[in-house]
Amino acid sequence: MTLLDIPTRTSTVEHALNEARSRIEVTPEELDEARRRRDALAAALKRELGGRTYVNGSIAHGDALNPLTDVDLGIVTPDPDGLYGPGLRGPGALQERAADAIRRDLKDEYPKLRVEHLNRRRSILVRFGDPVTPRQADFTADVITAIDNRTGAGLYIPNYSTWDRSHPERHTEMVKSANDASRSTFARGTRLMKHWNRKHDRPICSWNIKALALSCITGPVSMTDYISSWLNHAIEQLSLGETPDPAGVAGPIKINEKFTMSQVIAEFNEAKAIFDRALMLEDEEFPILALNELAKFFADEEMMPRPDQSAVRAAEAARFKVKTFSAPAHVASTPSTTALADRINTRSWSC
Amino acid sequence: MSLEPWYGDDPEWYGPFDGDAFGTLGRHLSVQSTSRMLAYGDAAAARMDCGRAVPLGRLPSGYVEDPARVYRHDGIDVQGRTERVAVTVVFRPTRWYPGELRLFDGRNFPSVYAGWMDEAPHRFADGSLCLYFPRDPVQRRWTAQNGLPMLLSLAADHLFFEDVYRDTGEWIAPQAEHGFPAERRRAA
Repeated sequence: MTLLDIPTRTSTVEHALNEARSRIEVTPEELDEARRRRDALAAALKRELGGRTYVNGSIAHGDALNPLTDVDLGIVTPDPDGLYGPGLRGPGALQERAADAIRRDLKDEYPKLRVEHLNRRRSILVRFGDPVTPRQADFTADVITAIDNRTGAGLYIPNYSTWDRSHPERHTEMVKSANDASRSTFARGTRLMKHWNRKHDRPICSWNIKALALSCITGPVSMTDYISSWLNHAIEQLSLGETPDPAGVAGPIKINEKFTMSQVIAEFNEAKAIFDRALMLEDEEFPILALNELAKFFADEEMMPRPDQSAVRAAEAARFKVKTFSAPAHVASTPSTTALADRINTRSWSC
Repeated sequence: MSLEPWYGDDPEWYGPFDGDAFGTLGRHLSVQSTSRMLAYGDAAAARMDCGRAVPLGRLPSGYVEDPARVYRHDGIDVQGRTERVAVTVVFRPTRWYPGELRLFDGRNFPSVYAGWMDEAPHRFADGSLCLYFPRDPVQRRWTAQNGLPMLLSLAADHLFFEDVYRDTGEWIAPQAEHGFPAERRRAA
């Protein structure tokens, strides 16, 4: 495959997915502003604590969605005397210094700035009091104060007053590498699945979506193939258990605590059934029905509007009649009008 | 007290059925056990002065518990509609249809409630959907072995057929004649 060979589909479904993707993209101006604020935070932290900063999250990974509401940043604080770590000092003192430095250095530019670090599990929360995306309430930053793990891979990051192992720098390397290898189709498809996740009560976190994608999206893909491959892989992987950390350092990635694992898998199975039906209807040359399934899939009228529903009814009625009455009367199943299950070839009745 | 062992309390029945249903439908599905008391007794009538007998229904001589296992889905997609439709499926020990002498096994003949349509051609008097002819061969009707997702799929199709019927006056799915053959013969 040459560099010019990004797989493309000229289909209705692929075209609609790309159109929808453009509706959820963040503008370059918003990204520039978010990065500028992140850089200001990084400078303040390095002045106070030294060491190195790392970037993480959707902006660093190239998969940010509109509206843009937050940015992620970490600082790895030097600890030459080995004072911090599991069984030693907790992260509290470092977080307090970091929070003070942020307030001191950014308050002039952001008069409504608020910085919260007490009773939080991992990050310092910075509220700028000034949104990046118009009409949003605010823009925030999650700042992690980490230390190097002297005896193993990765970092120690806060877990309230103790520390957890993690490797966020490696995570960002892996995602950037996948973006390069896929010629950015990894990030584009990830945006679509993140948006799906957002509209279905977030059964899993964004990082879990990317961790799953790292195992199944390894080269350039169309958006259709990204979604199909991702759903198949996610169902298979989650049926085995929680997603392992791709860096092999932290524990497995937790699902949303409001869901059981079987509920998460059921959500993805339903999504897969709807998406597969869209592809089937496209193959059967019912593009309006395929688009209607995509609208059901994303459940977001602004991002993927439904086609005219009376036209959908007429097309489905025509399809149903052809499929049902061209089959022998005794056959046990006929096409359904839904993605729920096959249809038993019943006869409507009343007593 | 139920006269027969109630399959709705039997884990060997509802275990696999629920496993399949919840595995497919996830958090959209809920289930509840309920019951109602039914009176039974002898038919009674009063003779009026004019000589006409007026039926009084049945004089209750006892009561029997009529348990139910009720599944609720928070909303299925119906083709051509923008809003999802909630569905309730009620399993009782047996199902009786007007015009039929025998009782049907409730496991394979639940009542399915979804939406409403005035003058619907294929609904029962209580608004439940007439999804299949009870005397059709097993391949052409739903049974519990088909699982709840397939029953909900039939319900979604049925609502779609109603919408098309409302638009065009045509019922586009296969239909059985209303009533039972013996009842039709009597009526003739």
